[in-house]
Order: sequence, then C-alpha cells, then structure tokens
Amino acid sequence: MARGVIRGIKNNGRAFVMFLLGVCTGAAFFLILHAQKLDGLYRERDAIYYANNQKYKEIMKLKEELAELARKGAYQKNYEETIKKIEVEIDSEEPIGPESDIKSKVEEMMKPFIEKPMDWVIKNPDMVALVLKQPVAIDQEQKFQLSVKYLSFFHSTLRIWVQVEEISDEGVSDSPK
Amino acid sequence: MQHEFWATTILDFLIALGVVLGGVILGGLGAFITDEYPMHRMLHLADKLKIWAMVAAIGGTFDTIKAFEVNILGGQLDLAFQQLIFIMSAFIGAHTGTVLVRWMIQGVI
Repeated sequence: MARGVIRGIKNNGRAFVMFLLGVCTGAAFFLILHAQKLDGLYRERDAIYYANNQKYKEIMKLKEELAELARKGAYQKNYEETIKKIEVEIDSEEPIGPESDIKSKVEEMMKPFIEKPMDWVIKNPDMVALVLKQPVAIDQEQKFQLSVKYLSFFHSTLRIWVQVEEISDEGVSDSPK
Repeated sequence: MQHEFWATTILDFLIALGVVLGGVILGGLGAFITDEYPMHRMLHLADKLKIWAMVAAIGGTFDTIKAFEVNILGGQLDLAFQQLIFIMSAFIGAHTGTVLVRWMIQGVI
C-alpha cells in the first residue's frame, strides 16, 4: 500500500508539486481575503475568554462568601440559639446597699429564661419586664422596685440592666382612717 | 556589461520583494495554523524579514563586503559603486514589500 503511494508520487511528481503549490497559493489568497476578519474573530474570542475568566473568578469569590456565611450560620445555630447565661447589672443613681443580693434575686427570677430561644426573648422583651415587675424583698424591712432599662444579647448571654428603687413604708399606716 | 548590471539590479529588487511577501504570507498561514493573530504576525514579520530579504538578495553579506574590499583596494571604484547600487536595489525591494504588507493590513502606506 505504502509502496504504491510512493510509486504514485514518483510517477506524478510534477502534479504533486503543482498540487502543493496550488494549496499554498489558495491558502495565501484565503489569508489575504479573510485575515482581517480572522483577526477580529480572534480578538472577540480573547475578549470572551477574558470575560469568562472574570465571571469564573466572581463565581469562586461568591462561593467562598457563601461557604463562609453558611459556616457562620451553622455556628450561630449551634451556639447562639438559646440563652445559656444571664448577667444582671444594677443601674442606679444612688448607691444601693445590698447590690449583690438584688443581683442574685434577679438572676433567680430570670432562671425560667435559661435554655429559652433567644429569638423568642428578642421578640417578646415585655416578658422580661413582666417578670421583673414585682418588688424584690431582701429582708422584712427592705423592698425594691425593679424596672428593666436595657437588654443585650451577646452570643448565648443575656445581659439585663435594671433600675432599682427602694420602696419605703414610712408614712403608710396599715389601719384605715 | 550594462545589461548584466540592470539584470542583477532588477533581480535583487524582486528577490528582496519576494522574500518579504512570501515570508509574510506563509508566516501568516503559520500563525493561523498555530492559533495566533494572522494580521498582527504578518505585520511583525514584514519588519523582521526586511533585513534578511536584503541579505538573501545580495547573496550574503560577507561576499559583498569582500567585493567592496577588492574593488576599492584595486582602484575599481565604479564596481564598488555598482555593489552599492545592488544593495540599494535590494533595500528598495524589501522596503516595497514591507510597505505593501502594511498597506494591505492597515490600509495606510
């Protein structure tokens, strides 16, 4: 087969050379006629490659952002969903004597809120106010009226700022006049 | 003698022109095959091939320099001038080729 082809080329060498020259001439004409269009198409293709590359980079960046947000979301779901700790701060213009006692009383009163979803407390802050509405008695003589000033949520900690006012029984008689 | 001079001059001109045009067109085809910008490559080749077209047309720089030396030292200044004319002819041929290619690609001479 190969020998036949080689013999055929040898016998028709001139025709073969003419054929090659024809191919070259045709290619040259093609180039002269269409090179400008080809250049334009190549340029367009490069622009498309560039745009595609930019889009790919953008997609990768957005994917990374999405993964990071998903990670943060999972973290929040795992660790910040419920109240684990309650901290009480007393906010009073005058010095209050048994501050630590009041704090522990308030923490005691707020115990039902532990392990409650944070969202629920955020949506119903009046529940906290309602619980702390009743006066706190440290002993028989001292009673304090509480009012919630601020609530803050940080990770799984609920911090409450409470205004304290001493209730005085002076001048109040038990017997009706 | 004079006939030979003109024949060589025309031959040098056309060889230099052919080297530039042929090189540029086949180089452009090569660029097309290898996925490059054909026009850009052709323009680049036209400038690059100019000097080699001159060298090819006058048959190698060394021979020409040797002929210069022999003619000038031998007192045959007219022959040395002839060599200069051949070089000029080759240069004009190569430059014409470059200008034609530039005109074809950019539309400006």
